[in-house]
Amino acid sequence: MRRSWIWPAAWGALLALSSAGLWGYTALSSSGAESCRVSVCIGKPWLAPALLTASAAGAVLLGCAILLLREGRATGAAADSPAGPAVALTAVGAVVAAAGGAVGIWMTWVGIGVAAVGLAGILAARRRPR
Amino acid sequence: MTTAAVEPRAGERAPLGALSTDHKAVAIRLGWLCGAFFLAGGVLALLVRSELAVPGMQIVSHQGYDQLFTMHGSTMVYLVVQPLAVALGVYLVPLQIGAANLIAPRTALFAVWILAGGGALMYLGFLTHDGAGSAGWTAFLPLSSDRFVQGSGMDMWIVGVALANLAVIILAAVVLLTILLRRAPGMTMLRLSPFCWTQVVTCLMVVFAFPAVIAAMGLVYADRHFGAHVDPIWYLQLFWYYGHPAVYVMFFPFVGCVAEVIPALSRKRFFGYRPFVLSLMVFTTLSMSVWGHHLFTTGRSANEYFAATSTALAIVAGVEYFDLIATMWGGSLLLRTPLLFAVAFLLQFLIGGLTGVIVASPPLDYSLNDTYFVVAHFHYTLFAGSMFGLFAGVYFWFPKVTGVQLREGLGQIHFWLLVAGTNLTFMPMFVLGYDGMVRRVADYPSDAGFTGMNELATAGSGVIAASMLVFLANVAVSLRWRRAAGDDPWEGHSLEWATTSPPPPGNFDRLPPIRSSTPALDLRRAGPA
Amino acid sequence: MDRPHDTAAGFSSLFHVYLGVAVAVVVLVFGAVGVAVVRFRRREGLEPSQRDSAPVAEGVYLAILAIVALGLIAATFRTEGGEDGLAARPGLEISVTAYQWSWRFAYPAAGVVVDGGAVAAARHRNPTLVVPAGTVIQFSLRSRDVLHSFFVPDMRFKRYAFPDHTNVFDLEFAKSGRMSGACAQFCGWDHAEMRFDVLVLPPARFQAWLDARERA
Repeated sequence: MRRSWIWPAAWGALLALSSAGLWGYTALSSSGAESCRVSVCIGKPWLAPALLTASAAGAVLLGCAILLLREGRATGAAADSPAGPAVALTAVGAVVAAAGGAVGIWMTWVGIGVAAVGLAGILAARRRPR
Repeated sequence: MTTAAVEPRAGERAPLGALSTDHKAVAIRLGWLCGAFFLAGGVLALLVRSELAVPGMQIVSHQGYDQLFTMHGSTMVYLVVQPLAVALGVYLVPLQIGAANLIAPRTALFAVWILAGGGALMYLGFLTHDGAGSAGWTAFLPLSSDRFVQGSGMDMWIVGVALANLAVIILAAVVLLTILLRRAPGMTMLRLSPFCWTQVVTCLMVVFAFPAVIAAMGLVYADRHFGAHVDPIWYLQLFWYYGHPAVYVMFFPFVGCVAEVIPALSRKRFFGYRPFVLSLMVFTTLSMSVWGHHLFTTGRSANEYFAATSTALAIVAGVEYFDLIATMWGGSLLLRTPLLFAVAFLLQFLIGGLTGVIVASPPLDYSLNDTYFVVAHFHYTLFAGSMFGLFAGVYFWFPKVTGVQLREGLGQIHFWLLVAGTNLTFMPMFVLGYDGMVRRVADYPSDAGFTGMNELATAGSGVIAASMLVFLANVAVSLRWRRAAGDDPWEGHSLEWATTSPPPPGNFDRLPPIRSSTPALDLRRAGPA
Repeated sequence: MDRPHDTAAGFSSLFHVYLGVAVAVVVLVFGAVGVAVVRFRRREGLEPSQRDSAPVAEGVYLAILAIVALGLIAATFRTEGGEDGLAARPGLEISVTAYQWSWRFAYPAAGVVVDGGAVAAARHRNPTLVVPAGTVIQFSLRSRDVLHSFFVPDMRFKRYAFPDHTNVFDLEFAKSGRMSGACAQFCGWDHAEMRFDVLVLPPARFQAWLDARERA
């Protein structure tokens, strides 16, 4: 039985342990309190442990997802996908769209257009018989 | 538009290699792309070192200098070492697990193009009126807001960084899922090669920590464009939540290279496989839990907790050192270039790691943070460490990827020049930092006593440049006057050595039986069928 | 610890502990690798061992590493506990404001201000922070714009200056003399020029200086 799901889940559990440690430290230490009277006073004390907890939860969820997914065949067609050029075009569109955030909204529209063409190409390539 | 070279190498099958979805082609394109960015980042470093050699501004203005060090750091982290870390997995993982390709080849190709575009965008910033990004590779708020750094070059940098990190997240997710779901029959998780294990933990860190830098870039963008007055502590926490795992992402795959080179060239099985796997799991948990040490001097972070987790890193790192040295011990060592680089990695990374333990102590960090001591520390871990591990891997796997061997003589010259240059450049920086020279400064006072060490460091940077030229010459010569390498020139242990050099499109014409973590070694020992 | 806010002394004793451990580790590792490379160099008749695990040895080694790490953490906590504390009754209060690209030092009790940027004539005049020796001084540190860092290398201490938050810390300058200071957090174009001087005076002379400034 394939048990690869255990590994992301275990990593998530380790992260959860670490975040519990940080929650505990923050709750118990005076430097996390409102009435901080030392020179190191934690700003937004809940933020750091929350970040760790989020990663822990994510890793555990990934483990669950792997457990539920059926593992695919190891071997299989490895031929170059004909969608290569369409994939590249979609990526170029995405980059141009993002660059619009620095240059101007008009560029974002251009990028979306290019990416749409690329996506259409990918869909077309997938439907073509191999 | 993609500035980075995507020309196929001599002898490469597919003329349209940049559009291929075969994982090997994708990885090779990534290799060329990151190699080009590495050269650009290296030129920026040479400019920085030229400016800092002696007091006074000889080459650039203060504002120009800020762009130089920002783009040097940004290139090396976002465009070179992070992507190379996962690129190694893109090439090797399907081969080492007995799969024909990655689980999502088109997605991987998409990510490479995103990376190229993001990097190009960052560099295009140099052509704008206010220049390229200039707030450091870390771009802390409020400095990176439009109140203090104007111009579209900074915005292009922000977008470029977001794209480059998105690309790495996508690639890591694909590699991770490939390992978890596409292993050949018989390849259980506990039979994965040590390198594959480093990929598992690296990709976990990328997927579960790197989104924080995208969020951080979002905060800067919001501050610059939507008038959000972001509290700096939000940015610092988010950025470093990504930033510390990032440096481990830039370490583990390269220790993975070393973990493959040493057993093969020592004719011994990897020592302490299970402790190593366990230590990787704990090591990466810790590496997700130490980021507050970048905030010791803010006086606003949980210093004691992060000091404890950061110091604990020494324990797990120590386990890995034990296993690697014990693998060499009692072996039969072939002192060729891959092993030379692997040994240098062990010795030089140690210096980086130990100085890391020093700055993991807040009272010590109160003095050494933001000085050249830290600059030396991270160059010892990332350059004297990881890059040497990378070269060990390059010399080791070059024959598998191309079918030809790199020249050993030129390799030795490259190695020794690089050792000399690296130590000459970065060892003086420990002294500078200890003596109080702060970092990210365009200039320093002539009466501060910093000049001598800076001159040494600059000289060293020239030697590094020379060594890289020797390496490039080696690649050119080896590809032009080809010496066939055969399927398994190094007596390797893992599956990629049980197929041709280079491997065929589906990777394996016939998969050998997989009954241990060293299937190629087992196949050789079983003798001809 | 008698003078927990003498951060220079705190650094020195702790650093020597860490340096000692680091040097020992370097000698051991370089030694082991050096011996391995020479002794196990590939040659005729050298059969490699097939041993690939040693759980007991590795376990003992792990325990030793853990003990050393715990020792370092304990030493760190001891020094840090002293340095991070705030004295109930400091001898003096100084307020520091960092801004692009100089410093403002204020002595609230005496109403004295020293401001590096206020001297119109010389653009990069380094302001001087004058302090008394042997006194616990409570600093309040803030920025007017971006993040800066107040760094006195000879005191082995620095702290960030935030625009929206005041950092408070105690320092005790052990001996009279001159020191230099710098901004350690990258803050834009003239970050390299954002320096200051520190003049540590015996308490009586410091008081005289302060009184003279107050009257002026």
